Amino acid sequence: MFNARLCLPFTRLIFLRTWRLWLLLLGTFAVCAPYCQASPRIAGPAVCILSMILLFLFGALAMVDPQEQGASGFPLYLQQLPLNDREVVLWPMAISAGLTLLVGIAISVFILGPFAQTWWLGPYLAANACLLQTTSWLPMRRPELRSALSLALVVSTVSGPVMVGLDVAKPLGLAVGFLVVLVFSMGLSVRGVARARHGLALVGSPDRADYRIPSSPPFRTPVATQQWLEARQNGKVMGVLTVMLLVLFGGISLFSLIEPSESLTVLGARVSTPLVVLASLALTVPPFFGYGGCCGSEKDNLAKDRSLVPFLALRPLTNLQIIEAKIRMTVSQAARLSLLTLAAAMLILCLPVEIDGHRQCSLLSLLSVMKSRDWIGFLALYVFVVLEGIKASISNIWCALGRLPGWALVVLGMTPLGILAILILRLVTHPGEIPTAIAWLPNVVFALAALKLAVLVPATIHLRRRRLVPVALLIKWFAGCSIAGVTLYVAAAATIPAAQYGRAALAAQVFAFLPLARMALAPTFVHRGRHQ
Amino acid sequence: MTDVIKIEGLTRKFGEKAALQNVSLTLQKGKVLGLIGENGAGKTTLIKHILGLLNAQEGTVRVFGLDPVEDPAGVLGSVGYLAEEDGLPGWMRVHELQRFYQGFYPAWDQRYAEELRERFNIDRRATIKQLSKGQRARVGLMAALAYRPDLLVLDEPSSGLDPIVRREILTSIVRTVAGENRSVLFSSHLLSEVELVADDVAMIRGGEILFCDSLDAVKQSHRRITLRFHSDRTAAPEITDAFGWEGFGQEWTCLFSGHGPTFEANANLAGAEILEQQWLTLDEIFLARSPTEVQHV
Repeated sequence: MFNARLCLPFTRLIFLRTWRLWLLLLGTFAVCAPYCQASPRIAGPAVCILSMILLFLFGALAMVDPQEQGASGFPLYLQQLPLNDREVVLWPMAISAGLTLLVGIAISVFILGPFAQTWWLGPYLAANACLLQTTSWLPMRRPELRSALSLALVVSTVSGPVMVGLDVAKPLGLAVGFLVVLVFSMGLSVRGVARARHGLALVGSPDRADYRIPSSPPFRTPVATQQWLEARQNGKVMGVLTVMLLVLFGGISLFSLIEPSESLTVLGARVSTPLVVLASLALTVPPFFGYGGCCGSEKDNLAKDRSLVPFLALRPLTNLQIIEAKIRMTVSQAARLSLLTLAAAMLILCLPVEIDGHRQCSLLSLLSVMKSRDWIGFLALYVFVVLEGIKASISNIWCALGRLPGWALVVLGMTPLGILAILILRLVTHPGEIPTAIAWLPNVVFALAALKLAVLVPATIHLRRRRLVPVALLIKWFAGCSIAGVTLYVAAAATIPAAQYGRAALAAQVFAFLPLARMALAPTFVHRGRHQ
Repeated sequence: MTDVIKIEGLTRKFGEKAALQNVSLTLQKGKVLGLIGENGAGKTTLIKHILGLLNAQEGTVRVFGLDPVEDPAGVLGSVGYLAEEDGLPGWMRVHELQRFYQGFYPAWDQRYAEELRERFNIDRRATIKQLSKGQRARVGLMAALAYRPDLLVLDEPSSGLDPIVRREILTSIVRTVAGENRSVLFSSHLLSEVELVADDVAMIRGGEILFCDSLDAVKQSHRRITLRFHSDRTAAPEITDAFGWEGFGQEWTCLFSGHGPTFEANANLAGAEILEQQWLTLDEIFLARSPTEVQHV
């Protein structure tokens, strides 16, 4: 199947040109790994560092060329090689699978240990690396499908270790499952890339003749037009993501199989935790996506800053109008999605909950988790996040100047996955904490939702008086930092106690929430980006 | 006549590289200005300044008497722009694009937009990504024209448009726009097209404007002249305003840009008489002015 003559240049191309930095980091880590095993004190930071390296490695292994939504992300430089479809697809997949397998084994041996219990990590990582490639390379007529597939990938990433941790699945059975996934994803990738490479029609392509033109009235204002653009671009994906997240968390909740003694008592009735989690997530997931407007704005800014796309850059709006449009987008999207759920969230936070024989309202129980030293920590973290916000603003200026390197954008984009990886690793090694983590998840989400409300209301009020747009921006900025600060601390303190979690993991969480602050800052730099 | 665009002493540097050097340019109402120059000459940078996408480091840029950076809404609301790379979102359908533009431009004429769409043979239901490059360029042209802008800026439109659109449609549209007392800035390296539609021509090279005048004046000021010297010459002679010498012995041909009688006097002083004079086409002027041609000669 593989053309031996081409293997060497192929390998050299991929390894030396694309992955050399990450391989160097992995090598360095392998050298240091035995010390990690010897000293539990540095194992925590080591896990964090490894998680980040793994994330970068996974990003590099995906080998994705940025394409228009729906198109295949298979790199053009590979498509053009004089190889048949199987060779051009399977060789990079084999390299990815082999490399991640080795990394997984190294982690099992040197960090997690003992190998006899954690050997399944290798096939697990290999299967996920291949799935990531498949997801990125498949051409899809509907971009929502890619989001759904990506989320399915996250489900698989999360559910594997959780199932092992909870003894739902045996490692051997799971490893066989991973291998099946690996082979399946390879087959699917070959078919997908072949379609992209040879311009074959996609299955499920909508027939143009079937499309009926809706009779829509003209937009009243430019701001309304811009809002429509955002909703049209991100609206469907947002809905799919919301549903998929519900399925994801619901699935985890059902798998957790919490003991009856750990169920919660709400208003005198005993309710199983998974049910509470499901019900609360149904109410609280949408507010997260209120940030969709901000995400869109950020993309908009980058597009203008980097290439001055005329379509976006030449709208006849003043800078203030653009900023206003962006804030309005955020406010209206968040309001549409979250006002009801916010009200419900506030109500639920006030409901009495019985934990360990103590009956108190959910909010108070959350606060009681935080001891005085935690409050000091919270304050310190808040200051840290504000400082990080300033740092983020500097990176925004760099963006505006077009000097932010690609890898830095990857770092900012991948950090939320970093926290996920850290959490997974933590839960794999401490499966006993899984029920606690799940039980506290809604509280974290509620806290975020409530704080978001605190941002949106003053911003909306100020927006009604046009002159105060800068004030609304200021509020948005500081509140964005507050959201990040509080959320990260609540997540750290309530989900997994800080003392057990390790400072390094906490710092990684701080880092993980930086994109939030970045989003809040985005509109400030429109002017800078527009005129360089 | 009112100046639609007035640029004075515009200089722009990207790092150490000067993209524009002391550029001065004027476009009057109802005129078509052809901006010609080779790739990398600074045409797009100049246009970005006109659109307010770049801030002038030195000099001033005024469009309709306004600073496009300070008042983007005032300027861009009256400017139609067709870029070499359109950046139109692939997911958007043609009728959605029309609605989108309509939201930003109160003067959008939907009937005219539909007329143009039908003329360009574009399906309303098609998504932008389903269209070919040429069709996308036509959609871009439709969007740039449908609100009847006072200034139409076409940045290398020929690279995307097929010959039929270029010849029949673009030319007639540009002339129609100018006929309605609106102005057009037309950047291109296809000089035959510029020659067809432009009233004024500006040539830019290395960020500097070499000349900016009416098309007739530019053509009349450039000539190919054949000279006969009284004695054989082994090297090209040096006469003011003459360049691109070719020939040997007594007969030499040069390109000339400047004042005719002065050249005649200078040639006489150098011991030569004029045998023949030919007017140059815009293509020939462009080639003569481009550095590669000079080196070749």
